Amino acid sequence: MKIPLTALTLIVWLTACVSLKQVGQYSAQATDGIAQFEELEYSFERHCLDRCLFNAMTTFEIKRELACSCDDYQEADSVTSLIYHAIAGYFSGLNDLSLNELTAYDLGPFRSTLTAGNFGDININAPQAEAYTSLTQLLLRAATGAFRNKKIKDYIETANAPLQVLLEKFRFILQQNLVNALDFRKERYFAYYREMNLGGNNTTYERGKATIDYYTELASISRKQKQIDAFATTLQTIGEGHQELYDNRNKLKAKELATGLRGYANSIRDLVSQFNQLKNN
Amino acid sequence: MAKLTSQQANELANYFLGLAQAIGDYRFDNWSTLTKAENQKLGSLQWSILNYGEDILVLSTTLVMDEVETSLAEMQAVTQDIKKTIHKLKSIQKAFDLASSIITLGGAILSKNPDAIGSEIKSLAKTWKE
Repeated sequence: MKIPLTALTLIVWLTACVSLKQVGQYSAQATDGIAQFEELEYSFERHCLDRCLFNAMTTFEIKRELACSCDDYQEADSVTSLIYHAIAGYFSGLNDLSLNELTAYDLGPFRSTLTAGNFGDININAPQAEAYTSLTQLLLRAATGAFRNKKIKDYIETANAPLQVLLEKFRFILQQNLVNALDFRKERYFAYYREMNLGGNNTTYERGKATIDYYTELASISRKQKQIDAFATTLQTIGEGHQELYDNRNKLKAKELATGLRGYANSIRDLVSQFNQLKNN
Repeated sequence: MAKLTSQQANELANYFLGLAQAIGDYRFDNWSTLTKAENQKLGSLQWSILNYGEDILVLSTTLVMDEVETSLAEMQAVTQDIKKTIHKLKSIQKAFDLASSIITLGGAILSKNPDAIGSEIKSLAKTWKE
């Protein structure tokens, strides 16, 4: 049986649309997942300011202004923010490409370059700097029209390695460093309240109240840690989804890929929902 | 001596947390026998160790170095030993010396000087074993 050329073209086009739709859905979910970073409401600088305030409280130190030296903490936030914008920009670009909606793409935040060892006082190692530069260059080329729907395979192929490096670094910073910083905060509260209750100047009621206050603070910090942890898990799932996309880049039309991507998109959506629940608790 | 990686700086920060907890436990366990001055000094030293630990976490975010496997293994061994046995400490002076050694090590780590880090870890181990 002969299939007319126009019908064949239509079938190929429709199949391509279906697979690109899955890429679009995955990248849209990834974009939503990454954007949760802005809702964390916790950062290294915030941690530093909280510590500074806590120190003032324990020493009853009242000055006209709270003087806190948080420069290093601000730098840590700058590194984290750069990585975040590079990843968010890539997924936004991938989403626009898969939907062929590149005209409104804004490259503004990605024009800055990051090179090993020379970002202010921040030391970024060569692979990380390369990863960031690769992603930003890719975004620039995408915007000039060199990459369109037919080139999406190359886009995924080029981006995967630097993206995985940046996602891993991002996850590490949040899950290992920021979450652990909150463990230090817990220890400060522990020492503060133990000292208060052992001090002997408080009434039984005050000691009981201090105990309740301590456990309330502890629960609040733990909730924040779980929230950051949920976000880090989202980053990991996004990375796994992109790896699947990369592994199957030569068969973007395959049904298995569409199913796999749908699975990752659903997992990310569930993690976003879990994150929001922790945020609202 | 080789340099630290961000993963290793993160591990060092966790050791600082463990050591600060150990100093704190010693302080609270001996609350009734410590003088007011000793108590305050130990509390202040614990606070400084916590500060250094947090600063090292920030360093882990902004600084990526090479490997220091040996020093980390030494650090891990010392931390575990201290946490296990600090409650048996007889002399308050040793607690002060220990806390001061930890703080000096924190300074070496933040100065990003791998040789100083290695030498201060050895010094910490020596203070503990003396």
